[in-house]
Amino acid sequence: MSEIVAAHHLARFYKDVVGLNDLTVEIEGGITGILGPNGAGKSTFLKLLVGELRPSRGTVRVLGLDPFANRELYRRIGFCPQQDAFWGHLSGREFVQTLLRLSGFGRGEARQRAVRALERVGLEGAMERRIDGYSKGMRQRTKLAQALAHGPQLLVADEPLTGLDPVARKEVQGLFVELAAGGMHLLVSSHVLHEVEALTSHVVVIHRGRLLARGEVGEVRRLLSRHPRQVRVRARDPRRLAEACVALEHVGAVRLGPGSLSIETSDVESFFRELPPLASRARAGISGLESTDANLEAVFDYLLG
Amino acid sequence: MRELLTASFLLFRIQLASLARSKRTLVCAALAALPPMFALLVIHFGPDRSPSTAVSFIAWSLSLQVIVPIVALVAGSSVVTEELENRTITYLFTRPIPRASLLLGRWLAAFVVAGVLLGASAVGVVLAAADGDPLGALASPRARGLLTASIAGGAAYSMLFAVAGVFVRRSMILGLAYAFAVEGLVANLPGEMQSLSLQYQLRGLFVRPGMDELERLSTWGLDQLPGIGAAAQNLAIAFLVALAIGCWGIRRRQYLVSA
Repeated sequence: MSEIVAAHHLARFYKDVVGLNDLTVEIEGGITGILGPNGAGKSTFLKLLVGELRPSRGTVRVLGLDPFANRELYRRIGFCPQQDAFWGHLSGREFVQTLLRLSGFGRGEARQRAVRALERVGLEGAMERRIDGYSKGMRQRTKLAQALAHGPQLLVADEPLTGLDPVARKEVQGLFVELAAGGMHLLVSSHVLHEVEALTSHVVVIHRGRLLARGEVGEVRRLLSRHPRQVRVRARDPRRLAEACVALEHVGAVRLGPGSLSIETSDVESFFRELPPLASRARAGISGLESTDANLEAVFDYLLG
Repeated sequence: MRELLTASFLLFRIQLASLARSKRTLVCAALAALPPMFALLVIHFGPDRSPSTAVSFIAWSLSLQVIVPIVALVAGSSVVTEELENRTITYLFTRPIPRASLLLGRWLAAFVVAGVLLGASAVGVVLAAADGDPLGALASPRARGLLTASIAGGAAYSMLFAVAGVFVRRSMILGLAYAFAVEGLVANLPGEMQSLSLQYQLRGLFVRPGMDELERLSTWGLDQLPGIGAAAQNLAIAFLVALAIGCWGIRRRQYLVSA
């Protein structure tokens, strides 16, 4: 399969703000994760792909077509936008059915497809209720249903797992894998690495509007684990725990605070593995543990230098 | 063309259902109720209590100059901007439909609401001022003129404000400025300039030959009104030009929708 997306020196500016800058990337079929911290340019990239925006510079082709206001392309793609927006006075079924009618399906077929799509995302019991009364997770599923109900060749989903509880997230991830197995191509954006990792090994990493990395998720993971991380440990006796921790090879600095200590480690996975026996031996009584800079923004800043 | 009509009809239905339960429609209904209420006041407490004077006074000073533009503004300015503000425009613009159907379908729904309310308002004015013969009052040229001018004004103004929404986000403010600052000035200037306003054309639809309004207007230098045919034609041209500009604009415009 040739590439489904081809972007060359793609840029999009919002007056003085850079949304995306000089992005050149080709994406092949299957599931591809678009990864990056909030504000990185993922949504701008996806909006350019579905023709909601025009590039300020460069070119983009999706399934071989220029996407802006391209009706031929819209028959072949489905878009699940990030914004939580609906015609709330409609039921979930009416909402999806209306959009299917706009996609050119007759009344009967649109209804059948709407019901099938909503069942597929697990909304069979709620599809006749007004969307205004839906929970965040149900609304997220409704957006997904409208994006896949017409059987697109390519599904573009902007942060589709946001707002879903862990069980629902797993179900939607399973659905994505099932859709891909059925031949659909998927572009799924997220700022959470492990969400994407559960779906695919192919990622495009965007940061500050630029392409940071493209390839296997394992490589990104390895880069993350080498990034020095701050971990705060709350303990009954933080001083004894600090004495034990400084002996670890990958621990760089330890700062004591009231009832807790902050540790900088260059190998966070090893630290988490070694901490429980260490704390047990030191009888330090751990009561809490948090990684204070585990967010992607910090990691991407580190990777970018 | 078939795709345009099908999509427009679907969007018309969605918008009509939405307007049926919207606060916007309630505001329009409240505004449309004002002229009949004022007509009742005039007929009971005014210095000249004749039905024809009351209808003319309300039509001239309130219905056509204030209520028609405002109701059309409230209904018309939402046509594109509401989808944008609700951030649902994304769903429509990623479907294989002509983008112009958004303007056409939703404007039609806005016009149905505005037209019905303005028509009811005109009928209400005539009935409120009727002197014991409501059917006779409704059949009078003055009543027909007010009804025609109100509905035609609703169509022309709402299209103009809908098209403004294609190009600017704050179409309501722009519309208010146009309806009252620009039209208010141009339509009341003696001479040729007034023919550039929609208001002038609406007066042409309302005032029929032989009506005593012409005498009063002549004292202000505003008696040079177009005939009914010319006024209707000018309004139709303004409407079609606005529609063409709107369709051109909506096909080319990109709208920023925040998450």
